[in-house]
Amino acid sequence: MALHERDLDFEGMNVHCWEGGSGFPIVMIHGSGPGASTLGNWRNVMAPLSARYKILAADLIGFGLSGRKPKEPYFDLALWTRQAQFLLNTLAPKGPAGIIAHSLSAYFAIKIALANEARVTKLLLTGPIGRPYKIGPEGIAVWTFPETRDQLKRVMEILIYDKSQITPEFLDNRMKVLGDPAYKDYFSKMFAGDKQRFVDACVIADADLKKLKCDVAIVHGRDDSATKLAETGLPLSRVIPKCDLYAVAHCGHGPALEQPAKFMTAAHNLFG
Amino acid sequence: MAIREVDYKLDGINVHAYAGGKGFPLLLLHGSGPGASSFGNWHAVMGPLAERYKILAGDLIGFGKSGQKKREPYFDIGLWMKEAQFLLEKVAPRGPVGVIGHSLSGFLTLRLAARNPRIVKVLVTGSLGAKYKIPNALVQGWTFPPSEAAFKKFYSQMVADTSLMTPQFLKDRMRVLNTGNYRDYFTKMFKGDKQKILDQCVLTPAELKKIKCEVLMVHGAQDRPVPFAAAAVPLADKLPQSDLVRLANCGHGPAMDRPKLFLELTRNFFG
Repeated sequence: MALHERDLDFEGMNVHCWEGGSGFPIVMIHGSGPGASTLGNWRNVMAPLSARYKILAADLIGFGLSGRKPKEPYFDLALWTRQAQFLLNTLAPKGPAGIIAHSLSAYFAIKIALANEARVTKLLLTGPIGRPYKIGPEGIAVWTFPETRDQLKRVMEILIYDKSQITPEFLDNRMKVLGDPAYKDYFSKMFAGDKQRFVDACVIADADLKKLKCDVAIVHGRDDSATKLAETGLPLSRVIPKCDLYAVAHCGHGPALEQPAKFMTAAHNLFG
Repeated sequence: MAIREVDYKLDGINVHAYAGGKGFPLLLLHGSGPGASSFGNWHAVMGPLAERYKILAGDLIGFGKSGQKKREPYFDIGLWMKEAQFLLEKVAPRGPVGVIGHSLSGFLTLRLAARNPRIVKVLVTGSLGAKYKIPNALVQGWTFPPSEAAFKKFYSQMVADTSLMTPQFLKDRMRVLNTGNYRDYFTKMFKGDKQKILDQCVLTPAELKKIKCEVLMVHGAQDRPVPFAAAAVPLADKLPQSDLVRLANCGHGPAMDRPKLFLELTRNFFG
């Protein structure tokens, strides 16, 4: 199934999307981190998903090919939550619909599911944030702009279980994205200061998690050191009423990237 | 796909099994508990599995339609391992093979995998294998229920969806429990300190190291006799190659409470 690219206007900023397929509508939102984007996150699963569902995958404001905010703060949960709502409205004005969200974006996805409980009936989260935990050196490193190729390599070694994926070519491509001085400035400002407060800002209260009525699946790498299974995926699955958890072996922070077949198993089980 | 019943002899004891299908060979082994059997454990999934795989589901000696031991101990890991090995060779005399084991048989299955490198994939549900403090629900599961009411009370802790306990289901189970010397045999099988029985079902570090195959652990979020946090997580921690799936709205038996999902997971795992 061919995907096509589309640009949407959202609050005067450009939102770059990939859409395709037909069937149950699913919004897809990637995670954060230096150089994060729709393609970076979902490239291995967009085609198989669009073979069965109607997908709309968008770059968050400040990431990938989407626009940038004119003014700080660039880390803007309220803005991204509105963007997620906008994407849901664009794809499935009446619902029912699903959301697939990675890492930081689990926060918006849960918020949107709570605010649209009649419309969002399925939620798939990978390596999610959303629980209180003390950020470790790995979490700090992935929210820090890598100054050098070596620093980028270290970040990727944190995120990816299978280190053989981190080829010189892979690093060169990422460095090209990160080499843009404007991007460095923007990203550094987005995650400036104490990073614990970003984790704290994304905590969703148990009382709210318990209100989730939709079917939820969490796919979490057992070797994820950026968001740890025991600290986020597992406790979320205990609090959310209808939540299946897939703890995937030999997998770091990005199950859709590293274990696409297992990700697809969870997706098919959830979305039908 | 038609399932046929077969009988074998092992050390003079009858071993009853359900066979069917063709393709990649899969051995299925059920759990323990009052009235447990292959049929009880797998009846909802045997047919669909046989459409894709060559399956053999054996009743453990002392359970279902298999025979009984002549002399105690009736809880006999050594004998059940021998039976599992025997059935493994029946379903696949050589070459790659997969095994599905539930609860007590999850432990047997993992031990079998440690001994047979040709077992390339193991799927366990509600599996024993880790050391943990025995919960009351498992003490009850290894105690003969004196009445239908007592059985019903026990079994309502096993399933998340209590509507699975239909009058027919209860009647069938009670018939098993009231047959011949079942009560006496079952009581002797689990006599004494049940923590000590559970401690016999712990995989050793040396065994765990020998398990090189892919492992998929499927576990109910509401599993009371084998709790997810106390039993599944520590076992998964010792098997870093394993995927661990925790299912919502699911008690001790994923094949019973979530049969559709169980089948999807099985198909995706075994191919």
